[in-house]
Amino acid sequence: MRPRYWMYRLYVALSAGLSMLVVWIEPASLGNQIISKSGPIGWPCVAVLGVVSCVAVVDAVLNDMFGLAVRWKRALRWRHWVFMALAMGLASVSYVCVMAVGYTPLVLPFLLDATFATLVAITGLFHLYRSEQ
Amino acid sequence: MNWTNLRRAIAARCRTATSQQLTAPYLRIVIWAGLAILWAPLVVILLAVPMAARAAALVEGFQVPGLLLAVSMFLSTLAGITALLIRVERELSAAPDQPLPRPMLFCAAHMGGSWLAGLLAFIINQAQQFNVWYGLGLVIGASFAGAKFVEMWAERAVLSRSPGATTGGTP
Repeated sequence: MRPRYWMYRLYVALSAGLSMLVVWIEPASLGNQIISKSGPIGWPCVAVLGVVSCVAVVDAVLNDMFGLAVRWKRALRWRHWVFMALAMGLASVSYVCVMAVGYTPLVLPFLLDATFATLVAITGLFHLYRSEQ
Repeated sequence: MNWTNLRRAIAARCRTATSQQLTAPYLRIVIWAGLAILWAPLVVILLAVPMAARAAALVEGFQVPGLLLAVSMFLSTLAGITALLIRVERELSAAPDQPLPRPMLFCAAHMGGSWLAGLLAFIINQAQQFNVWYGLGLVIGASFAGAKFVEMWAERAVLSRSPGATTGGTP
């Protein structure tokens, strides 16, 4: 499971990070307009979600792609919580979009990424403790 | 064996606890089932009419979008999974090589608690028309608190039934 697992994790982190980047830098995007209208808490939440996805990307690159050459042990230890926070953040963005627009397919990629981030968190937790034996 | 002993033996056999235990509960169930069959339709009709009217009055003012409810339930699920992962991590860090104790019970407790509390928070949010971020925080916070509450309640119930058992994290 381990050799292919990092691709799955990297994809989820990159997808979430790029979604937040598009929301942040593209004023024409629906996500940008929704977050702008949602109140003063919206942009800090998007920024936090962007930082969390950056942490997940850097974790996947350092701890998985570079193998044993470089290690970021704290990220490795807290990996499942990082992905759980990512899932919660993506689901929260979906909630805000649905509250603002109503029925919209815009939330489907967010919900899909949130689902996979949750699966990464669950498998990561078991992998962390079971592989220590 | 004389007649007196034989009579005592037969009387003792007739009064055994086993026969009482076998017959009494079944008899009780049959009596209650008979009563329920006789009176249930009347009770259901008497309760259903005013409850249907109340339920119609309750949902009359609500315009609940299905997708919003689905996303709220998804958030509740994530909050429940977070509470469950906290518990699982506690168990695994205490004993990585042991199987998880009572996994089905705690999965059901966490998810049931989070869904119930999340649904309640969603209804309150829709009724009060909170700000979007307050509503979001309410759904997530209530779901997480509901999962932890039912976890504590389930653990207490399990421990009260098995006095020798220990709390989670110490298998």
